[in-house]
Amino acid sequence: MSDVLTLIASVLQVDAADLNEDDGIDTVAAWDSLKTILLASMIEINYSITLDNHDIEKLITVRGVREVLARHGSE
Amino acid sequence: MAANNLPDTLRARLAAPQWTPADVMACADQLQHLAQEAQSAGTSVQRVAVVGDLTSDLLARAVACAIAQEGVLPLLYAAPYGVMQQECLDPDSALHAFRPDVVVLIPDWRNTWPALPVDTPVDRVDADTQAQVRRFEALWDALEARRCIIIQHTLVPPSQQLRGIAERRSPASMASRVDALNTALFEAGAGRVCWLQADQLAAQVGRVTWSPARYYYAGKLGFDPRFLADYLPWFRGAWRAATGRAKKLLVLDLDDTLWGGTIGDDGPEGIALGPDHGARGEAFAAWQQYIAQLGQRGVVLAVCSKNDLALAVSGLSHAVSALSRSDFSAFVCSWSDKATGLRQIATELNLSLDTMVFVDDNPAERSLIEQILPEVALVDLGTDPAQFIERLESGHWFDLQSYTVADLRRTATYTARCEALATQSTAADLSTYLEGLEMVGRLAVAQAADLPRLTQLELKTNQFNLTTRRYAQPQLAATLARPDQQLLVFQLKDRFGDHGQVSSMLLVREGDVLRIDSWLMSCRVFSRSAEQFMLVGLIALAKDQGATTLSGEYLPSSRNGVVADLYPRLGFIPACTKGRYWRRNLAAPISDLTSHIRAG
Repeated sequence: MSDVLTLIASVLQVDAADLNEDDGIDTVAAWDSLKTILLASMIEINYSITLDNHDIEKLITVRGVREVLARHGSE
Repeated sequence: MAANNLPDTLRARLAAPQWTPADVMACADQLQHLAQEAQSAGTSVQRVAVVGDLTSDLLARAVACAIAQEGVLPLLYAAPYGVMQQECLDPDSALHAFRPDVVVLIPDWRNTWPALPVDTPVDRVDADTQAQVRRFEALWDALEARRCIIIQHTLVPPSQQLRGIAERRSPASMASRVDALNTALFEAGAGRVCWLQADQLAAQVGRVTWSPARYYYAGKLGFDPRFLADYLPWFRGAWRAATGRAKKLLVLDLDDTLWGGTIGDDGPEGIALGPDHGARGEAFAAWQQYIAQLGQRGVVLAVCSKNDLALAVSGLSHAVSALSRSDFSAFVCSWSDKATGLRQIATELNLSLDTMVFVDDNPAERSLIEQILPEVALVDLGTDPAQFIERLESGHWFDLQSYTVADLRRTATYTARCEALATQSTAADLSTYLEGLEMVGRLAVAQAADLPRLTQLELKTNQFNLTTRRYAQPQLAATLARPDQQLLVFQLKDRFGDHGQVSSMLLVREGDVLRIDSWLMSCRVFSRSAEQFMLVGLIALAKDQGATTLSGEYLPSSRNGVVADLYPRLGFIPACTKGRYWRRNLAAPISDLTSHIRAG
């Protein structure tokens, strides 16, 4: 299990094993706008990076999270 | 349901020293689930609503965690974004349908005002501030009418400076207006609102860091979620003040806590205290000065140390010591375990263990207390005396909404109580002891000037509190003008000191009956026949007013068991079968009401 999926799962309070690479705000009921904000904060804390609003807007799918981390050289 | 009945995993999580925003969310969601279950099972929960100008969902979660850390299970209602005004003022709002016990208001400058031109005249700025005050007063009125306790955040000024120092000098700048409004709201909300100093929290972490624009634009958040953990102790401090759970007593160890080193080994001159002992000695001296100032501000101080008494006291005679033996209302030095010592201090001062904060450098001692006396708050000061003040303050244990005269002489009165108890141990019997105190009491109708202290009694009195109905200052003020209500205040002094205003009674006239709606007494003066003295005065007053009967009510709480038998002890007879309502015929003789207090 990747660290990214574990982090997303901890924010969404779901089992990381139930998350797929294609999952996101449209497929996971617990993934709402508040959790997206929370995910942004947890990413900033865990990876010691600062996201901008463009990044935060992308945190609505697992793939988007990976893209943001890659942009910051953290994935 | 009390939070100490929570599942072990959740309790461990709530006690964790480090929190992430995800922890706050997960704990709060679990608490909400438990609270809903408890409510469905008919168990009472604390109903807490959080409403703000911006998105308040995350802070609401932190509020729930903080309340659970205080041992109470909260059922939470978080209002939608930006509807604070509507939710409070609309009687049909979801907020009022929720029937909250406590409402947390979180205003934000961005939704409070449009900007003013920088050259706006001062009188126009002042008028604008007063209009805002009236807006908040309307919210408070609406919440008080439903008997809600109100906790409100101070407004956090914006971080942008525009033109530097010129902004601070311009009354029309947003920063100046926020400062002016905070000050005006403190005044208008005195006795009505418990404040959480969000502006101080933001200043502590840095305003720019506290409120980054990206979170405002992303989710209309007024703060960075990484600071949710920092928010918890601030809210707990405000919660304790608002709900009568404020800590009153600071108990300190001596060696490596009030000075560096072990006095038994190093001797009084060898302990690290003062500039002769370098930075460490200076830090201990500053720490002592800080403790002394806490004592002067009404925190009751005590010592619990494994030490020889004479040696321990000699440490306080050190030339640099800011503290002396007389600053401590109780001083327990023995080789017994510290749980025994803390219990002894609580007994001597007649303060419950849950009002106590214990500071000890030894983790083994703290661990023992954590296991045996979990109600005592523990502070880990670390090993660097330069950080002691910061570490104690970060718990917000002694945060107070305002000072009263009683705060400023509290140490003296608790010390007097200890001296009186010492007298008791040498007196032949209780009557001799009470007579020897040479007590003088005065029962009088309260005046407007008495209200701040009586409001404080309302908030802080848990043990001798017959109904635990807590009245805010405007509600007490309203009684002064009503012909059918009376507020009485009782003052006491004895040969050891003036205890000041230590008891109050709210009376309601209902036909021939004078009903005691609320009766409070400070724990400092329990068991001194003050209740008999007050009742004799009350009977005379009731007869003067043509009443034929006194009635009283006892509503049990988790902390007022000490007065469960008060009314039968004072000659009242049951007016119902459940022990709640009591009556005393005013024609009955008062020979059963013996007091050792002289009227003065």
